[in-house]
Amino acid sequence: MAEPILKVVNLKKHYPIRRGMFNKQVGNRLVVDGVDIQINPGETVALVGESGCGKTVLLRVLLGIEEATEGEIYYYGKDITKLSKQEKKEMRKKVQMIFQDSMSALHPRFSIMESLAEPLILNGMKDKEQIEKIVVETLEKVGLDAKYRFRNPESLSGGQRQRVVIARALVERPELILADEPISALDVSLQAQVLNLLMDLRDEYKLSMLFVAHDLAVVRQIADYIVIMYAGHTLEAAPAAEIYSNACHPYTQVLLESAPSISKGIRDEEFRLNLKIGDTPDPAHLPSGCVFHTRCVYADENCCRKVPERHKISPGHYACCDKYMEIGRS
Amino acid sequence: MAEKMKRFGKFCRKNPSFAIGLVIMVIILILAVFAEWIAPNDPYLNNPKISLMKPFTDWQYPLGTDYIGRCLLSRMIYGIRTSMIICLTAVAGAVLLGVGVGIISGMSCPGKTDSVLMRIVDVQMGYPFIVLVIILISLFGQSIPSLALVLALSFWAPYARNIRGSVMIQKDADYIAAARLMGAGKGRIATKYIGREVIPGIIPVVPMDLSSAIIIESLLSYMGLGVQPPIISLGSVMGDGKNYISTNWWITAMPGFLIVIMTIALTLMGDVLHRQFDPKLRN
Amino acid sequence: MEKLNRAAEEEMLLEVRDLHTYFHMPGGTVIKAVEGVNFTLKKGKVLGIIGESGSGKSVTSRAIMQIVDKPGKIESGEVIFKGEDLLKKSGKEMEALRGSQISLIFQDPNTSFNPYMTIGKQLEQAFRVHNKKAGKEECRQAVKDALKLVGLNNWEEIIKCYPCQFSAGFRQRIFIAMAMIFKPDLLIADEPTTSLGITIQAEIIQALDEIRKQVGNSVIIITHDFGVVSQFADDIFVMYAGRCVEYSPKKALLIEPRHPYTVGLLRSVPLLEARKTKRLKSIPSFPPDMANPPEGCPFAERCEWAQEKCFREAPELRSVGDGRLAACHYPLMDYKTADDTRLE
Repeated sequence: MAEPILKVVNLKKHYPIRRGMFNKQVGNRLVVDGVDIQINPGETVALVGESGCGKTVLLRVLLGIEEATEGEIYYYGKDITKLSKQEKKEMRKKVQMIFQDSMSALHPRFSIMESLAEPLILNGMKDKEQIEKIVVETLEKVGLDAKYRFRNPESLSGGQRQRVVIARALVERPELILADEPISALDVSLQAQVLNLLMDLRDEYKLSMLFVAHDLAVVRQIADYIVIMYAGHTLEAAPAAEIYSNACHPYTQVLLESAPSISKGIRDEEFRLNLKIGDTPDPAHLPSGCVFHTRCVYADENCCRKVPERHKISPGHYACCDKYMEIGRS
Repeated sequence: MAEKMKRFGKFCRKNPSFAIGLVIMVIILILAVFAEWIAPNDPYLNNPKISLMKPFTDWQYPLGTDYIGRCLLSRMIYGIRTSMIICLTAVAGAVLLGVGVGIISGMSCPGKTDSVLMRIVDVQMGYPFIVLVIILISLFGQSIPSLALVLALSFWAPYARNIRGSVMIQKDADYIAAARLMGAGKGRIATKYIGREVIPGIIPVVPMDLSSAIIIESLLSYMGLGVQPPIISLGSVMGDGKNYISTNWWITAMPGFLIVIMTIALTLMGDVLHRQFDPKLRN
Repeated sequence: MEKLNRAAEEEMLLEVRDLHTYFHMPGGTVIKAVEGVNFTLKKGKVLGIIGESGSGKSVTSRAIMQIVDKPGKIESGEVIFKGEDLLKKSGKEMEALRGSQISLIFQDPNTSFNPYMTIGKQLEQAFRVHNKKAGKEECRQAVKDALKLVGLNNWEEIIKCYPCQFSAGFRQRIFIAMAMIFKPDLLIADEPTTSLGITIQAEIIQALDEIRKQVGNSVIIITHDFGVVSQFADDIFVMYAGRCVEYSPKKALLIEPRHPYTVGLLRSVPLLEARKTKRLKSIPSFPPDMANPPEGCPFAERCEWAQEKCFREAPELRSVGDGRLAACHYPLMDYKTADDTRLE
C-alpha cells in the first residue's frame, strides 16, 4: 500500500492551567489526549465528535498552528518536526484547510481577488495576469461567477462565502484538504450544495480529505473511514460502512441514534436515547478510567477505574471499550 | 482615482457637517502655508505709535494691534503656521508610535514584551499630564521640535491601548490562521492583515486629538512654556495680550476665537468619521 | 380558508389566522417577514415550524408572544389563544399571559441567565413574577418541581450554582425548567438545540417530549433541521420567504411531500439512511432577497418543476387532499421520499 499522506500517532495536546501571582501551573487541560489517524491518498477520513471534544485543536496541531505536547505526525512518512524548510513549504502548499466560519476565515477588508491571490503571491508568483487567471478559474470551479472577485466578503451570502473559502484552499492545487465542519454554519438547503461541491472537487482533483463533523449523518455520503472522538480520545475507528452497520462503542451507538432520521419519524418511533443525562467532560477534570463512563448506561465499576483497551474488531475497525462484547452491536 | 474622488464627493454631500469642517480646515491650512503672501503686514514689525489699536478701525490692521503695535491678524496667521506644524507632527508621531507599540504589544500578548510595553503605557496614562509636560520641556528645551515631541509623547499611549485591544481581537480570527498556513511571515501579518483591519479604527480619533493638541500647545505657549519669541504661535499671541486683558481683551480673544473655530471644525469631522468607522453606530 | 379535517375533535389551543408582520427599515424598505401565516394547534400537540434563516419562522413566534422588536410591526391577522385574540389584548394583559400561559425558550442559553445570580434565585424570581406573594416554602417547592420536571433530580445542588458552572446543554435544560415553572399551556421553543452538540440536542428534545407527556402542554418547535422535528412533532409547517409553503401532519409530509421546497429540504438533509445515489440532490441557487422579493411564487427561481405561471402569480395555500395544505400551483401528487432515499 502507498505511503499515507498524513499519519498521526498518539497525538496529545495539553494546555497548562496557571493560577496565582507567579503563574504557577496547577494542572493540565487535556484537550487532545491520544488520537491516531491515518489518511491514505485519495481517501476521505471523517473525524466525528461533538463540540468540545478537541477536534478543532487537533486540526490546529496538524496544521502546525500549535505544537503537539506529545506524539508524532508523519507527512508521507516523514516526521513533520524534522522537515527541511523546502519540505515544509511544499507541505504547506499541499495541505490546505477549509474553515467553519467563512466570515472569520476571510479578511473583512480584502476583496475576494486579494484573498484568493494571497497564497499564490506568498508562494512567489509574480505575474499578475497569471494570478488573475488562476483565481477566475478557481472561482468558476466552485460555482461562483468571476465577477465576484471584486466584491468584499461582507456583501456575499453565507453559502457564497463558504465557496470562496473552498476556492482559497484550492488555488494551490493541494493533495490533502482538512475541512473543519465546512457545512455546519450553513442553511440546510445550502449544506447539501456545498457537500456536493466538495465531493465533486475531491473526485476531480483526486483529493484526500480529513472531514471534521459533529454528527454521523453529515459524513454518510463523503467518508471512507470514520474516527469517533470524545473528550480528546478516539473511542472508535472503522471503515465507514462498519460504523453504520456494526458500531461497537456505546458512544457511537448513541451518535447513530441521535442523528436525524426521517424513517424513524415515519415509523412513529418513540424518541429514546440510551444515555445518562450529563455533559461532555471538562478537559481540565477528565473522568478516571473510560472518559465516557459518566454518561454510559453500561458503565460499571471497572469502567470508572480502568482505561479501556483498544480492541481490534475486524481489520481496520478498533473500539476502546472493554464491554463491547456484552453490549452487542447496533 | 476618479472613482475614489467621486465616492468622497458623495460622502461629503451625505455628511454636510464633515464638509463644513473640512472646508474650514482647508482654509486654515492654506493660511498657514501661504502666510507670507496672505498676511497684510510683517508680523514682527512694531510701531509703538499705533499700539493697542482696536479691531475693525483701520483696514491696514484689520484686527487691530498688540501692545507694541504689531498687526494682530498677521501674527495670528503666522501663529497658525507654527501651531499646525507642531500639532500635525505631534499627532502623526503619536499615531506612529501608538500603532507600532500597539501592534507589537498585541501580537506578543501574552508575553514579556507585551507586559513591559503595557506598563510603560500605564505609567504614561497615569502620570499627571501637565507635570509630565513641564518635566519633558525642561528636559528638551522650548523649540518647535521639542514641543512636537512633548505633545507626541503625551498622546501616543491611548492609541497603543486601543490598537492593542483590536489586535488581540483580530489575532484569533481564522483569517490570521489562514495567512499563517499560507506561509505569511510575522511582518506581513502585522502590516497587511492586522494593520489593515485595526488602523481604520483610530482614524476618527485623529481629528479629535489634533484639536486637543492645538489647545494644549496654545495653553503651553500662553503660560510661557511653549515656543519662545521671536517664533509666533497662537498661544504666544494670546499670551502677549495677557497683561492687557481687562482693557484690551481682543488681543487674547481673537486667537482664542480662531482656536475655537478650528476645534469645532475638527470635532465635526471626527464625529462623522466616528459614525462611519464604528460598525455599531453605522447601522 | 379550509380547516384541517381531523377525526378526533380535540380542544383547540391556538389558532393563527392570516398573520402579517413587516419590518419597516430606515430608508423606506419594507421587509415582509411574515406574509399571511395560518395554522392551528390543539392541546397537547406539537407543531414543528421548519424554515431556513430569514424565512420568518422566528418572527412568527415573536408575533404570537407580541415581542416583535422595532422596526418590526404586526400589520394584521388574528392570534386566537384559548378563544381570545391576543393581538387585541393590552400590554398589561399580555404580560400576565407571558410566562404563565405561554413561554418561550431561545436558541442561546448563554445569554438567557444573569451570570451573577444563583440558579435557585433566578428560578425563584421567575416564579415571583406572576406570584408576588408566594412564601419561601412555596417558591422552593415550585423550583424543585420545575427542575425535577426537566430530569434534574439533584436539584438541591443545582440551585446553589451559578449559570457559568454549567455547560450550554445543562443551561438550556435549566432554562426550560424556568419556562415551565408555571406549567404553561403553550411552550414555544425557538431553535432550542441549534448551538448544542448532537447528543445534547437529542437529550433536550427528549426532555421536551417527556415534559409534554407529564404536563400535557402544547409545543411549537421552530427549527431548520428536519431531524429535530421528525420524531417529535405531530404537524409540520414549512416556511419559505415569509410564507407557509406546506402544512401537513408529520407522517404524510415525510412520506409524500407535496411542495417542491419540502422535497428539496428533505433531499438535502444529510441522513443516516443510505441513499441510492452518492450525491445529495440539493436545491440550487440561494433564497430570495427579502427586501426585494420576486413576483410570483418565491420559490419558482429554484424549483425544478416551475412553470411559466409560477413566475407570474403567487400561489395561495390550498388543500391538496388528506387534510393537507400546500402553496403551489402544481403540487407533487405522486412524489415519494423513498424515491430518493432507501427507507426501510
